[in-house]
Amino acid sequence: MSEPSKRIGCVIVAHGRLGECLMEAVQGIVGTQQGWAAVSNTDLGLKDLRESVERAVDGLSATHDVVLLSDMPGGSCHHACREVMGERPDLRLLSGLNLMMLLEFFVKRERHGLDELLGLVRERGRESVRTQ
Amino acid sequence: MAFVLVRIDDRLIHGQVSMAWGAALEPDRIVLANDDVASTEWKCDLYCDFDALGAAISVLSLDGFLEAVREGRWADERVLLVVGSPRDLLALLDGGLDVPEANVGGLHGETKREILPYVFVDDDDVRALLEIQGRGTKLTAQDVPQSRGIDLAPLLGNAA
Repeated sequence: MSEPSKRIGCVIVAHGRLGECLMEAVQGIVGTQQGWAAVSNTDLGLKDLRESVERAVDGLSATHDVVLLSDMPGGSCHHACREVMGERPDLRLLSGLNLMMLLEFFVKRERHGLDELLGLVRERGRESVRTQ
Repeated sequence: MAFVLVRIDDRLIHGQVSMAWGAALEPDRIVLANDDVASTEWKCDLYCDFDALGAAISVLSLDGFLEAVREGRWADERVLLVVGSPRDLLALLDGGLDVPEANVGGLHGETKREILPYVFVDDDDVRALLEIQGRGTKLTAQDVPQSRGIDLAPLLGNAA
C-alpha cells in the first residue's frame, strides 16, 4: 500500500522519442518536474523493454508511488508494463497517454491520492478529445 | 486457414502487427502461437483484449496451433500468424506446418548482433534461421508494409 510520505511519480513507456518529447512539452508548459522517467521501446524486444521499465521503476520507487503510463493499448510498451506489474502488484497503469493527461498528472499529483489522481487523469484524457 | 503473413517477432502482437500489417493485409484473424503467453491467463487476456482493426485475435500454444491446423479450424479465414522466435517457427515446421515464406519482423537483444536495424541475432537465432531456410522457407525481413522487404539469406551467411 502507498505510504503517506511518498510522492506520486511516473514512468512513461512509449514508442520512439514520444515519452521524452511529451515531457519536454509538459515542462515547457508547467515548468521542470521531478519524479519521472521516460522509457522508449526503440531497438528493444519485450524482455529488454521489460527490464528497462523495471530499472526506471526501481529508480523512483524508494521515494515515489509509481504510475506507469503507456501510449498504446495493444502495443509492446503496454505489454511490457503489464509484464512488470505481474511482479509488482503495487504498480498502477494508465494507457492511451496524451499531453493533456500528462499535464493533469503533474499539476494535480500533489493534491490527490493515487486512485483519485488516476481517475482525474483518465477523465482529462477522454474529455480532451473533441471534434469541432 | 490461409496465411496472409507468417511473422517472427519477439514483440509478439504489437502496434506494427495489429495496426500496420493489419491495415495492409486485412486478416480475418491474428493468431499468436506462443507457449508462455498461452499458459498464462492474464497474458492471454492482455493480447486478446485489443480491437485490431476488426481482426479477431487468438492465442494458442505451439502444439495447440498445430492441432488447430490439423483439425481445419478457421477454414475460411485469412490468418496472420505471429511467433516470438526463429526457434518457435522451427518447432511449427517440425510439427508439419507448411510455410513457403516467412517474415522476420523484429528480433532484439542488447547482447545480440545487429544485421538490420530491427533484426538482432545470436548464434542460436542464426542456427534456427538457417535451419528454417534449409527446410525451404524463404525468409524476408520487413518490419512494416511501407518498408522494403529484404532477403535475409545473404545476411545470415555473414552472421553465421
